[in-house]
Amino acid sequence: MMEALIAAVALSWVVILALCVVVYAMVRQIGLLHDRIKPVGALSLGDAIQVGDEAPAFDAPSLTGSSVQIGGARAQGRATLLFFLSSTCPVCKELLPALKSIADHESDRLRLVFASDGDEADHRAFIAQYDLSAFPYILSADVGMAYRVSKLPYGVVIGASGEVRSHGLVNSREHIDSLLEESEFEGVMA
Amino acid sequence: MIAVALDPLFAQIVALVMALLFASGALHKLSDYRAFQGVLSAYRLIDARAVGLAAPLVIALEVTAAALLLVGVHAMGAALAIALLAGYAGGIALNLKRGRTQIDCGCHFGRASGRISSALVLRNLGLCALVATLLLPVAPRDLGALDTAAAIFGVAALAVLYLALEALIRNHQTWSEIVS
Repeated sequence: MMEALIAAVALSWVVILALCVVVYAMVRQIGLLHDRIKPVGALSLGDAIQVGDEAPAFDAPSLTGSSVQIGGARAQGRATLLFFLSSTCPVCKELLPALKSIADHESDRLRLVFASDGDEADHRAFIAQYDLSAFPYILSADVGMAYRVSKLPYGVVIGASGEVRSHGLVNSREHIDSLLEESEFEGVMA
Repeated sequence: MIAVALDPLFAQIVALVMALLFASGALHKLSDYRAFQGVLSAYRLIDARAVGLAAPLVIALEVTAAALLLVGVHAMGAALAIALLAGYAGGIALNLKRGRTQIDCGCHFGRASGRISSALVLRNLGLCALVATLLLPVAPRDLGALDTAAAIFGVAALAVLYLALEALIRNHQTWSEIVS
C-alpha cells in the first residue's frame, strides 16, 4: 500500500513538473509571437522608430542656449547624434569624454545633442560639472518617449535630411563608433 | 486557540525557492554591474552619489538573504527577503506614480528590457506573502527521503512557474504595446 502511494506521488510530481515546463514553453511561444507581430504598427523599444524613418520633429528649449530643433524633414546640414543620458547614470558619465572628442573632431558634420528629463537644477549642476555647456542639452520626457528609451545611455543618429540612421543602447565607446558606422557616418576614432 | 503550524516540507521548499531567486538575482546584478548601477540610479530613489554605495549594499543584502534561507535561518532570511521585496515594490510604485513608466525595471534577469508596471508591484507583494509564511511556526516532523524528492520536484516546479509568470508579465507589456 505504502509503495503504491509513493509511486503515485512520484508520478504526480513528474507530471506536474512536465506541465509547468509545458506552460512555460507556451508562454514563451506567445511572447515570440508578440515580438513577431510587434513592428506592425506597434510602438516599442527599438521598434518605435525604424532606421530610415523620418525622425519625429521636436523643438525643445536647451539648457545651454536657445531652442534646439531635432528631426523633421528640414535639412539641418549636419547629422545629429541624439544622446539620451541621466545625471545619475555611471556609464553615461564615462562616455562623456569620448562623446565630446567625437563631437569636436566632427563638428562640421555632426551635431551632438544631449537629452534627458527630470529636475532642471540637477541637470544644470551636471552640465557645469562635466563642462557640457558647448552642446545643446534638452530636458524633455516627450523626446525620450518618442524613441521609447527605457535604458540609458541611448543613442540615436539622425541624418542631415532628418531620417533616423541608427539607434541603440550605448554602453561603450565602441558602441558609439558602431552607431556612427551603421549610419554610414565615418566617425573619427580619435 | 488554533495553532497555525507550517509543515517543514512546505517551509523547506519556500526557503529554497526564495534562496534560488535571490542568488540568481544577485548573480545577474554582479554579471552586469554597470547596468545594475544604471537601473538603480534610474529609479531616482537615492542621491546620485549614494548609488556607488547602495549598489554593492543591495547585492550584499540579496546574497545574505539567499544564504540565510539556504542554511535554514528561515525567520531572519524571510525578514530580510520581505524588506528587499517590499523595497523594490515601493520603488517601482513610486516611479509609476511619478509617471516614469518608461524606465527599465532591472528585473527578468536582464534578458528582455522590461519596463516597470503595476504587475511587478503585485508580483513582489505576492512573493512577500509567500516568504511571510516562513515566519509561521513550523510543525515538528522529521524529513525523510520522500520529502527530499518532493522538495526537489517542488523547487523545480515553482522555479519554472516563476519563469512562466515573468514571461506572462513581459507578454502582457508587449501585447499592450501592440494593441495601443
